[in-house]
Amino acid sequence: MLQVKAIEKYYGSKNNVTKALDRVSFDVAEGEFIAIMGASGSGKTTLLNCIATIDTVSAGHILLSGEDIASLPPKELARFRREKLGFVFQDFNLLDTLTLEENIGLALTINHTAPHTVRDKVQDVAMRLRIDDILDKFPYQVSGGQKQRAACARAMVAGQSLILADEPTGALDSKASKNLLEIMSCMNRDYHATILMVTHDAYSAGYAGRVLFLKDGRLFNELIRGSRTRSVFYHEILDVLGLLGGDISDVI
Amino acid sequence: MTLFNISLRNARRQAGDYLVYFVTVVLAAALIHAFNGLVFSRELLSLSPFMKSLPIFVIMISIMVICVIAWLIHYVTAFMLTRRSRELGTYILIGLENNQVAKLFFLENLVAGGAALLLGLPLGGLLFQVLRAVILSLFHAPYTFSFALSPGAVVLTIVYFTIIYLMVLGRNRRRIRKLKIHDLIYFEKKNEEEAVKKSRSRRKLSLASILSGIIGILLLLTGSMPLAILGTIGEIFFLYGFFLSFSSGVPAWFEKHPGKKYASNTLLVFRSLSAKMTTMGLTMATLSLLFTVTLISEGTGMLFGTLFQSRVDGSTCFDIFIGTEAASVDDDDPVGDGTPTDGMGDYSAGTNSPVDGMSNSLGGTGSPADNIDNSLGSYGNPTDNTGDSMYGSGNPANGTGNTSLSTGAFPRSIRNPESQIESAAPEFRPYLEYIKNEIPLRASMQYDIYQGESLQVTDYINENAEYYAYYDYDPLMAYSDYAALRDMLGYSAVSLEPGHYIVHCMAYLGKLMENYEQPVIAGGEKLQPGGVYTEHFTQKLWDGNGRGFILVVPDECMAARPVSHKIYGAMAGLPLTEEQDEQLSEIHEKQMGGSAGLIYYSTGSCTLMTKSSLAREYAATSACTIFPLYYLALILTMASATILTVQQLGESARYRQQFGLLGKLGMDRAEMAHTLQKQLAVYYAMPALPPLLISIPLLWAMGHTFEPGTITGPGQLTGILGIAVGLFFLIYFIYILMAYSSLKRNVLAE
Repeated sequence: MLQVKAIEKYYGSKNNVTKALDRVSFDVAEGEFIAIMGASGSGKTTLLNCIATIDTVSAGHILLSGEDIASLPPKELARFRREKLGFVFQDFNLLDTLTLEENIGLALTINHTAPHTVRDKVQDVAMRLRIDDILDKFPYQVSGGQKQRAACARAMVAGQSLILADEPTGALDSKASKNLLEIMSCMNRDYHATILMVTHDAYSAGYAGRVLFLKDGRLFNELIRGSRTRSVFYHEILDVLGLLGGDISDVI
Repeated sequence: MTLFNISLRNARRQAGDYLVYFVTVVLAAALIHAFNGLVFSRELLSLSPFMKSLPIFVIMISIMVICVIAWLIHYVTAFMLTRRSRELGTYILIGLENNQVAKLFFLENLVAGGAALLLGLPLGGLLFQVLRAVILSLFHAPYTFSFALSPGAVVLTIVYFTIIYLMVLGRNRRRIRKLKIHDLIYFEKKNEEEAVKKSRSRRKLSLASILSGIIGILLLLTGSMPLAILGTIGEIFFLYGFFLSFSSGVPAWFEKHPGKKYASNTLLVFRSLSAKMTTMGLTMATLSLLFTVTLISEGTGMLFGTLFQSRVDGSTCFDIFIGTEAASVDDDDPVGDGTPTDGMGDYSAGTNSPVDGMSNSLGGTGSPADNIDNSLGSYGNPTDNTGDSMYGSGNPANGTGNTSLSTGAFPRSIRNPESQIESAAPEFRPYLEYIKNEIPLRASMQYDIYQGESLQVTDYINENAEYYAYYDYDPLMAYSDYAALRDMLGYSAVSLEPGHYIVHCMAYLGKLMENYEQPVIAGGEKLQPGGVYTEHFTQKLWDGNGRGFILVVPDECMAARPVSHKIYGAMAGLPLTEEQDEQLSEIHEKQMGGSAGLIYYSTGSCTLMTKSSLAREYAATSACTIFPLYYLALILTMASATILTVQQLGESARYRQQFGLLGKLGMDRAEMAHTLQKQLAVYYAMPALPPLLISIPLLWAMGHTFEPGTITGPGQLTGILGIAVGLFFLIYFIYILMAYSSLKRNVLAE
């Protein structure tokens, strides 16, 4: 579904170039749940932003369903984002002035969905994510976990094919994190959502089917869960992180 | 770095961050200074006795202006305090005392205010020159540019600003002194408290306020003072109730209509608006109230301007007008014996030989009808008519030269009566003596207005238009007089077919009279309609050329008609000087036994009016009323628009977050720009729409309370209101554009 082919990303000017991504390549199959891990500054978020078309690559190609997103004009990129991508951010990125229902419905509005069908579609996805009873609340009236579930609902309500999550559990306590990860697994398992999640939390990465490790902008390692239990997979992830030499705070 | 240096640097930064506010304070200082210049300008105050009251009007309005500017500065500094509370809290955190931080904030605002004042003073000096040029041109006085700051005006402006800043900043200083670090650091998170918390109460309030608004308008339109006061209270309640309850009413409506909510970008627009209303409903209501005052001030200024101009244009078409009722001629004239008592009784216009000074003639029975009958005999032979008054022959005035009169027996008009004063009506003689010696004339004429035989045209107008009838007959004018007057006034020549009559009426009656197809009887002859003319013709007075209208009929129809009143009209070679006007006024007061009043309208039996005095009165009244009203309106618009803009620009970060997210969710730039435009348009329209709903009917009704004919029709009134509203929106749009371009730059950056 998604092919990342030898992408590079440089920042800075002529005399002071920072290489954020260095020839990163990998494929994502439809229905996969992939976690991208790495220390601070390893290029995780840059990679996600490039896939999300929020940032552009300096070299290489990103193909979604065979289409090179780097070659799309701005208007097409916007259409691509609203039709194909769903976002879940660390700080939820819900609009304070909108209720949860409206925040979720916003994705449909932007997609020019028939206005009278919006409420039903929102209700449907909210029931699946168990937030249908708080849809009339504003973000400041609900918990962090509920906010993040609303963000997940927004990321999938318009039938987006790829969900990009940037540190989705970063602002949540452990219970809310666990709830959210269960829901993301469910989205992946039951609704075949393809998820690409950036995290530096090994526990969160343990929910994924495959983990990519980045170090200094390069793809350092890859772990596939296969039939292992989550606990075993979690310990393997910790081992790789140890090899990466990241700070302990990046691991936990 | 000293505290003062930090203040200086912060003041510079403040001027940049809050540029809109800073520019508004500079402009306010300039306007205050320019109008203070009027208070101290001897040149302008000596233009007319009426101008002496200008300082009172300006100072009265200045007090309101000071309050508005103080509110603006208070609002914006409080807003800055909220936005910068974290920074001020950090100063305390690193060891400064509350007192020092308060002083820092006080100093930087004082420096910003001082800079605004320094820039405003010279700009105000230039603005004063504009005001001076406009006022001088109103008085037709010569203008030469001379830039000089009046010391009095400078001192007064500084006093005003000192009062404003000390009052506002002193309050802020006390506030900061009491704040704790925690308060300052978390101050930014505090919103304006919702005035009405329960949404059910808000819905009730919403309904009550709309009802109050409708009833208030109806009460205002009654025109009764006590009811209008109640109406005003109703409108104030409407504005505050509406804005305080808005945030619950609209979401409730959208809740019932989800299809509408999710259509296009409505969701974002309405939610951002209702969020604003929740947190700044009270401010919005106050701004809306100020906008209402602004629109009413501008509209009233425009209407008054039209009224004054209409009085100048419509009151008299002559440079000098004297009108006297026929009865008063009888009173002064020796009655019965035909012998003049004071040298004024030799009223004999229209004799065969005017220059021979044939005495007598004006009847003596005291009845105007009898007068005519009696006088007829003395007018001699009507067949002596020289023929230059024959109607239907083009311009009868031509060829009459400057000879005394008289087109014959009917009518008995006199051309240039000041050159044969003994022939003129006795009432007119003292004026004519002066005019003959002191005022060079182009042309002049004394003529009569006659009483018609019926009231049919008056009745027709009364039934179909707003009209204050004065006569109990339709007034008539002889065609030869009419033609001569048209020539004198420079109007095109008109002809009258035999057996027809012409209607000359005020412009607002023109259409109505064109539809009048009834014949009229004059001098026993049945006359058919023969045309309608609407040039200015001194038709507002009881002793003018009819009131609102006059019927122009063939001369011979006047033979048996009694005189209604007499008129002397003159066109001067040059506009009359103030001294000439004063001299005429003195003569008039003497004539009227000292009861003529200040200006030339009199309640007695004789009216004197000069176009120049009316123009001066118009100029002075405009300067005293219209200018201060516009001054207030301008300040109110600027202050209110600044508050809205500062609020909006203060939301840049939130907008950036919103549009950043929308971009990530896939909204394209054009749609984002459109959404931003819509959000801004609705935000700025909200406080401006209720004032339009209140002020337009009010001004419309006000336009209809003026004397008939002031406003020529709905088209003119619409034009006046359009200009008033247009002026307001012109200034408002400048602020909207500034906000939009700034937000677009900050929020929708690539």
